[in-house]
Amino acid sequence: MSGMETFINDLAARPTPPCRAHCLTKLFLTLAGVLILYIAAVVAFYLLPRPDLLQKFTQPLFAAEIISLGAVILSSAFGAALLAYPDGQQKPWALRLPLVAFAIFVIVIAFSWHMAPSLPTMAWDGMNCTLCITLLSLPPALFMSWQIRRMASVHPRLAAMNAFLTAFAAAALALRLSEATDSIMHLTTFHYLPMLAAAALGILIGQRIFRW
Amino acid sequence: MSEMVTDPDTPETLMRRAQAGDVRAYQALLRLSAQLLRAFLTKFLRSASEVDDVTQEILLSLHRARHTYDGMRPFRPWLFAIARFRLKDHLRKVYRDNLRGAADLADFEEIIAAPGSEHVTESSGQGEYVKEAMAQLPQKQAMILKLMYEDGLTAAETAKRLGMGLSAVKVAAHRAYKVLKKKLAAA
Repeated sequence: MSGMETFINDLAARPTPPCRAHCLTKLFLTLAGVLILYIAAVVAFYLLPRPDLLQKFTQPLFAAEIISLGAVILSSAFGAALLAYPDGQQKPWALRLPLVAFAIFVIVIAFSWHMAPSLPTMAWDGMNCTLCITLLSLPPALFMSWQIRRMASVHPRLAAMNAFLTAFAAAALALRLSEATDSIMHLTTFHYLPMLAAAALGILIGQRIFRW
Repeated sequence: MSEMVTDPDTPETLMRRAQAGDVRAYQALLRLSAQLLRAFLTKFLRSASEVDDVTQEILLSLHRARHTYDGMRPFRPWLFAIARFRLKDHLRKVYRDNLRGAADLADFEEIIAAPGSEHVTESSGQGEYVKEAMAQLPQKQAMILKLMYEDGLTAAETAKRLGMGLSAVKVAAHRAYKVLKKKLAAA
C-alpha cells in the first residue's frame, strides 16, 4: 500500500463526529445580530443616547451618515463572513460590497465637510473619543475573530481587515448616537479616520490570528 | 443540479455523504481529491516527493475545513482555494529556507575556501572527522556535499548530475551543513 493510500485511510478513519456544513446565512446573521444588539446595549445602557437623537434624524445629512455607517458595518460583516470560507462561498462580487458602502460613506462625509458653515480649529482632546471607540470595539472584534477562526479563511488578512473595520465602525456608530458633538472635523479626525487604522491593523495581523 | 444529486460519484455527492459520516465516501473523496491535486501541483513543483508532501498537507487541510463546504455548491472551487492557499504557504517556506540556506552555504564555502584551512583541519584531525560525519549523513545529502565541496561542482551542476531540482539540492545541502555544523561544534 502506497504512502498516500495509507495517509488517506488514516485520515478517513479518524474518529470525528458527522459534521453539518456551516451555513453562510447563519454566520452572517449571528455576526450582524450580535453587532446590532451590542450597539443598542451600549447606547441604551452605557453611553446613553444623545438628548436630541430623534430630532437629529430629521436632518438628512445626519440620517445619511448613520445609514451609510450602518451599511459599512453590515457589508463588512458580510465580507468577513464570506472570507471565513475557503471559497468565499463562490460569491466574488459580494467581496466588493464593503468597498461600495465605504465609498458612499466617504461621499456623505465629504458632503458634510462641504456643508459645514465654518471649520473649527483642531482640538486634541478628541483623542478620548478615539480611545473610547477603540475600547468599545474590542468585544465585537474578539467575537468576530473567534467566529472566523472556527472556519477556514484562505484570505486571512482581508478577513481580519473586514472584521476589524466592522467592529470599529460599530463602536463609532454607538458613540455617534451618544455624543452630542457635530463638528465634522472632530468626527472625521477622531471617529472615522481611525477606522482606516483598524482596517490596516487587520491586514497586518490577519495572517497570525487566522492561521489554521 | 439534478445530475449532481443522482450521480453518486461526483465529489459534491461524496462530500455530502462524508459530512453525514460515511467513511467510505470520504475515502473515495480523498482519493479523487489526491488525483486532482497531483495534476494541479505538478505544474508548480518539480520533485514527485514534494508533490506528495504538499498533496498530503492539502488533504489534511481539507479534513480540517470540511465543515466549511456548502454541499449545494461545486466542490472544485472550494478544494482549489485551499490548495492554492497551502501551495503559497509551501512555496513561501521553500523560498525562505533557500534564502537562509544560500546565506549559510556562502559562510560554509568561505570557511572551506579560506587559505590554509586544509592544514588547520588536517593538523587537528578534523578533516577525518568531517569525513566520518559525512558518512553518517543520509546517502543523498552526503552525495550532494561530496559533489559540491570535494568535486567543486556548483549547486546547478550538482542538481543536473543527480537529476534533482536546484532548490531541492540547496535545501538538502543546507540541512546537511546544519547537521555537520552541530557535529563539529560538539567535537
